[in-house]
Amino acid sequence: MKVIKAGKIITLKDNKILENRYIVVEDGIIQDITASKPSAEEIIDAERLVVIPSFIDPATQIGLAEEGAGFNYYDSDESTSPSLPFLRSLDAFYPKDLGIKDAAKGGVSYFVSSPGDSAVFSGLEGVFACKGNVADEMVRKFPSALKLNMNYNSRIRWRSEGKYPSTKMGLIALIREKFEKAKNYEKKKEKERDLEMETLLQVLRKEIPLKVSVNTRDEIEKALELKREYDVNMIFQEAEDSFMVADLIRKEEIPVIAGPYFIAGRLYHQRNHYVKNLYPLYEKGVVFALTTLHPIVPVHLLYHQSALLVKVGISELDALRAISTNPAKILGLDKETGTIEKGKKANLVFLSDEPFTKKSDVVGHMLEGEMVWKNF
Amino acid sequence: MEKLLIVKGGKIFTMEGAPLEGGYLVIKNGKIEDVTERMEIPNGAQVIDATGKYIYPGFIDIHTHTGLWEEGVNIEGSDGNEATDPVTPHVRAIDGINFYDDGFKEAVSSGVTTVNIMPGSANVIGGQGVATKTTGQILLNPSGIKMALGENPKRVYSSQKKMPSTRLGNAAILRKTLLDTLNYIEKKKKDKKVFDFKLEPLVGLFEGKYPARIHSHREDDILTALRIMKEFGIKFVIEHSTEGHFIAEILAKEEVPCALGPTITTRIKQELKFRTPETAKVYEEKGVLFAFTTDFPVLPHYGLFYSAQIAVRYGLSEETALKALTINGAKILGLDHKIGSLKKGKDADIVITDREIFDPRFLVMMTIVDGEIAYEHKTRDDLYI
Repeated sequence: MKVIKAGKIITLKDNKILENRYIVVEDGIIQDITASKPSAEEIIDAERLVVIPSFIDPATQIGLAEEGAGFNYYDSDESTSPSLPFLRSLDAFYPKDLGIKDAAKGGVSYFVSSPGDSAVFSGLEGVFACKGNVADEMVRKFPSALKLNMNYNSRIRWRSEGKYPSTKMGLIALIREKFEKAKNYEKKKEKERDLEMETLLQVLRKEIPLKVSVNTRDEIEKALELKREYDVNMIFQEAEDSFMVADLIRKEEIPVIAGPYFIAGRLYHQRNHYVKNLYPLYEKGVVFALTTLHPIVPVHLLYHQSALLVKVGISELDALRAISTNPAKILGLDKETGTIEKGKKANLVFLSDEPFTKKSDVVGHMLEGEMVWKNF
Repeated sequence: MEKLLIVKGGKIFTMEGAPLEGGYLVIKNGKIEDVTERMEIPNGAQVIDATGKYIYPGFIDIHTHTGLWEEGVNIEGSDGNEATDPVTPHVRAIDGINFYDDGFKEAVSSGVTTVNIMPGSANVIGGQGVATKTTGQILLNPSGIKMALGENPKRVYSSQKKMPSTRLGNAAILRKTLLDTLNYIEKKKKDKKVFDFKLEPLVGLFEGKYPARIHSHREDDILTALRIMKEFGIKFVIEHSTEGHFIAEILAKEEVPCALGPTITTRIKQELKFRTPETAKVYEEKGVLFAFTTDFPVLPHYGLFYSAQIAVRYGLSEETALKALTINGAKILGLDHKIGSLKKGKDADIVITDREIFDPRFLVMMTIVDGEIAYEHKTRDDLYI
C-alpha cells in the first residue's frame, strides 16, 4: 500500500478540488481519498504539490517513428497500397523509443500508437502505457481503432504515383467498395479467412471505431455521410474545419482529436489549423482532446500545449480535461482512468505549482500505482 | 506637429537594468524618446494605459523562414530552398519573401517585431539572409550568408547523386568555395572588369561586412564550422547549435554566438538525438552569447516563448531568458544600437502583455513597431494561435 500526502487534488470529477488529503493506492488502484492519515509503509510527500489526473495522448506514432535514429528507421508508414487495414502498430512497436521516456517525464501515462497516413485504411491502432519492457507488457488496449485517412495526405500520395485513389471521388469510392465487399464477405457461409475483410468487419460490427483523419469541411461532411450510411463509430482526428459544422458533429456524437499546435507551416488544407477554432466545438459541447501527433510535436509537451486552450478562452479545468478526461472517454478508458476518484487507476501527475502558472511543471508521474518519474 | 505616444503604467522591462514599475515610455517619431518614472503628459499626446500590464522590447527571432515557406499554401508558396545546386550564395531571401503572408501577421500578433529570414539548409551555401521588421521595414540586407553542415545538404544531394553526400563533402565544398572567393578577390585586384555573380556576395564575408550563419546541429558539425571559419578569418554565427551544450566552453572561449533552437521539437533527425531543453542553461553557465529561435515555420513565432518558458523550467534564469529573446538577438544581428532594448534613441518596438511572458497563459495585448500600433488584441478572432 502506498499513500500520497497531497496538498491539493484537482480531481476533474465534476469540479471537485480537494485540499490536504491522503490518496491511498493499492494494486495500482485508488482505494481511498481521505482527510485522516492512514498507516502505510510508503508515504509519498506531495504536500506542496498539485495532483491532477495524468495525461493521455490519443494520436501518436511513438514506438513506430523512432526518435534520434534518422528517417531510415521510421516504421510508421507502410505506403505501398491504399488498403492495409490489417497492419498492426503492436507488431512494429519499439519499446526503447526515446519518446516513451519523454512521455513518462511529461506525465503522459497512455498514448495511442497509430500506423501511418498514406494508405486510406492504414491499420490498427493500440493504446500503450509508458511502463514495461516489451510491447506486449506495455499495450493496454489493442486494437483501439482502425485508422482511416480521408485527408489530403493519402490521396495526394497515390496521385504522385499515378495510382487509385488519386481524387476525393476515388477515395470515397474505395471506402464504399471495401465496406460493400466486407458486408458480402460476412454473408458468405463458407469463406476463407481474409485479414482485410475481417478487420473491416470489426468496424462494421462496431467492435472498434474508425479513427478518421480529415482536414476540410467537405471531407468532414463526407465522413458524416459514410457514418450514417454504414452505421459505424467514428473519432475525428485533425479536423481543422470542424468548427464550421460543430452542430452536426455534436449531433452525431463524434469526438474530435485536435492538434498539434506547436507548429506552423500549414498547408492549404490545414489553413484553419488554429487553437481558437476549437472554441466553437467547446461551446457546442463536442468532446475534444489534444494530441501532439508525436513525432510532429514531442509528446511531453502535451501539458504545455494545453495552455494554448486557456489563451483562447477555454477554462483551465476544461483545458486539463482535454488532455486527460476527454481522451480517456474517446478511447473508452473512462471507467478506469481520466479522473481522480476511488476505484480508478492511480494515474496521477504531480505539478510543482498551480496548473498553467509560470513555474508549473510535471515533477512526478504515477502510472497504475507506480512512480515512473519523480523529481521532487 | 510632432506625434507623441506615451505608454503609461505597467512593469517595463527595459533590458537596460532593473525593470521599472509604473513608469512612462515616451515615443516620438517612431523612436523611444524617454523611459522615465514620472512626467507631465503634454497636451495632444496619445496615451496608452498599460496599468497592471507588462511592457517589453519587441521580441527578436534571428533565424526564421517567414514568408519563404508561406502559411496555408502548398508547393506554390514553398520558396525556402533553391535545392538545385549546393552552392547558391547569389540567391537572396529578400527576393523570395511574401511579405503579405500570414506568417508575418502571426509574428506581429505574437510580439515578434524583428526576424532574420534566411534561405533553408538544403545547400552548403544557401544564400543571403535579410533582417526585417515583421511589419516589412528592412533592417539589414544581406544580414549574412546562410550555410549548412550536417544531414540536410547530405540528404538532398545524395538523393540527386551529387556531391555532397557525406560530411566530408559538405566541408570540402565549403572550403573550396571560400578558396575560390579568395582567388576571385585577387583577380579583381588585378583586373577591375572581373565579376562573378555567384562569388561576389561572399566577398563581404572576407571584408567583415556580414557573418556566415552556419546551420549545424551536431558537435562535430559545429566544430567543423569553427575550424573552417578560423582558417579563413570569417566571422560567423552557429545556427541551431543543438549539441552546443557538449562544447559550450569552446563556444564561449572562441566567442561564437549561437542561435539556439528550435528546442521544443522531436528528435526526428539523427542529428537532433541529443536535443535537450538544458542547453540554454549550460550556455548561461559557460557564458555563450545566444538567442532563442523558432526556425519558423518549424515552430510558430509564438513558440519562441514556449522555448524560453521550458528552458527556464530546466534551470535557465529568467533574466538571461529575456535577453535571449531581445537584446542578445539584436547583438548577434549587429543591430543592438537600434533594437533589443527600451532606450532613448532606439526604435520604438514595444510589446504589451497581460501577464509576464513566462506565464504560459499570457496574451499579447498590443504590439508597437516603429512607434505605430501594429496589433491590438480585441477578440479571440484576432489571435493567430
